[in-house]
Amino acid sequence: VEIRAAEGTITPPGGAHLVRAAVGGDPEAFRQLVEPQLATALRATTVLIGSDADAADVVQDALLAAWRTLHALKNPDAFAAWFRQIVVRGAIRRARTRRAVVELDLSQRSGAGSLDRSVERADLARGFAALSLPDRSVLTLRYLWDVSTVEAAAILEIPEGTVKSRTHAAIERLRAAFEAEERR
Amino acid sequence: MTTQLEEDLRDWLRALPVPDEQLRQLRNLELPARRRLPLLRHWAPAAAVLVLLVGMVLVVASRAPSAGPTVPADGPVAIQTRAPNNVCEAARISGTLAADPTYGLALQGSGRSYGAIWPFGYSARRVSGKVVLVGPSGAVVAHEGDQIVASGAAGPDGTVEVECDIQVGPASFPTPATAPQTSFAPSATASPTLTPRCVRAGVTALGGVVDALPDGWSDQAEIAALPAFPHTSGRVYGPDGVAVPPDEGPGRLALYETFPASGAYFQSRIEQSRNGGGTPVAVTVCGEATEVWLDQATGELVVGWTDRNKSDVLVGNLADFTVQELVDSAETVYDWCG
Repeated sequence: VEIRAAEGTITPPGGAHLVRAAVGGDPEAFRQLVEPQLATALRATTVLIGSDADAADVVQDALLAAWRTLHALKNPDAFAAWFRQIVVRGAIRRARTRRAVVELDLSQRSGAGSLDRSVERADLARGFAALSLPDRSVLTLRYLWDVSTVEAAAILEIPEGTVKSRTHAAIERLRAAFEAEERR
Repeated sequence: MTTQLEEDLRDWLRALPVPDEQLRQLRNLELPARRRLPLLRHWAPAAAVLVLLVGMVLVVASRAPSAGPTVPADGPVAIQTRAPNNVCEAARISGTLAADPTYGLALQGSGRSYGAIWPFGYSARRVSGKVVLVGPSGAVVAHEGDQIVASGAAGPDGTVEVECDIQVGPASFPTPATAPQTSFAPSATASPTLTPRCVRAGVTALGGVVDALPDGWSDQAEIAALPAFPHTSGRVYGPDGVAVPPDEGPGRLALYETFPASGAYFQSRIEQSRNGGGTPVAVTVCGEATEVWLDQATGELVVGWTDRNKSDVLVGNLADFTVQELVDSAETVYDWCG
């Protein structure tokens, strides 16, 4: 599947050069390529899997998979999109094969802000954690990574129209869950 | 139009704190030596031989006085090195050390030259017109014309990565008599490496990858958890550009993995094969007695085995694999984080 580089791609400047160097076996070039992606990849895997340890494992797997198969990347400029695909598919796979237990209370990961804002974010986190894996996947791609519907469709292996409808439905389900949390 | 909830969701996702320790570990992740996929049909018979010959052509010419008008001056010679690797490859490489205009030093054999990539700490310099390999301690460890035998693997672009356990001998070491040329003759497409078999480090197996594939094949797509076996999912391998589904059939190799280990999926495939007239062939995968189920009508080959906490099933086709080649591929399924 050819992956189109998403808008706002975070492939670093000179990415194609780094890809070529990494394909040639330069680990430092590879590290420069993935460095801008690591934090976002960890955030994505964390909210998809719900376990810190598994999230880090999946990103580590993705790094090794990318390193091993980089020669197969046809368009070096699309490295960021390609790596996203490996990360997200790995996270989804891990989430499917592990027990349906969310070990991580995402509401404790609300970031800095005012108390009201923190409470809102905690409600949002609990609402998000209550969503199904397909819902979390599409929202993570669209709102954390800002990928296009085309790229999300390619990563999730579903039609673009399904991405749009699932995103809309997932937002509505998140809204309902969020409001239910607020009423508690 | 973006709603406030969508904005809040975006803000929350992007502000999620990430543990510094995890980031640090990922940044410091040691990257293994990259291997090209070996040409399976050439690789399989060579697997029985511990020492793989890159070649046995002695570089007599390299010992002869240079007749060229330009003789490089003595001094440092740039070679390629790479970060140390915690894993020492089971594969052995050997070849004759020779100067190389691109890589500084190369291993030669069978009329070909493989640019060599050395462990970090090694260097080279030219002494009296000849290039010598210098070890981490600063001592000369090998000269042009010496035979190098080491653990290693094929690297990218026709290189070899020398990893560890480096042994150096005179040009006659090892001789063709003691290490005969195997059927794995380096060719334009073959990769001069053996894939380590049954690599099982640690008590917990993670998702696996098939390392020994027919030439030109690679990982193509994911197989989602199977409806009847929710703990079983897989990956499809095939020639570049293969369209999946279908996940199985000629031109496909499907690896199914079940966490935690369970033989249920393999049993279901056995039943399916038996119902179609398939018959078993007794084999051993990584020391485990098991069966390859062969359906002559469809060409389907199915083998299953257990690796610590997971059960694997590999499905290929006679169009691409013999029974032994499927077992060979099964034995190179390894867990890249184990």
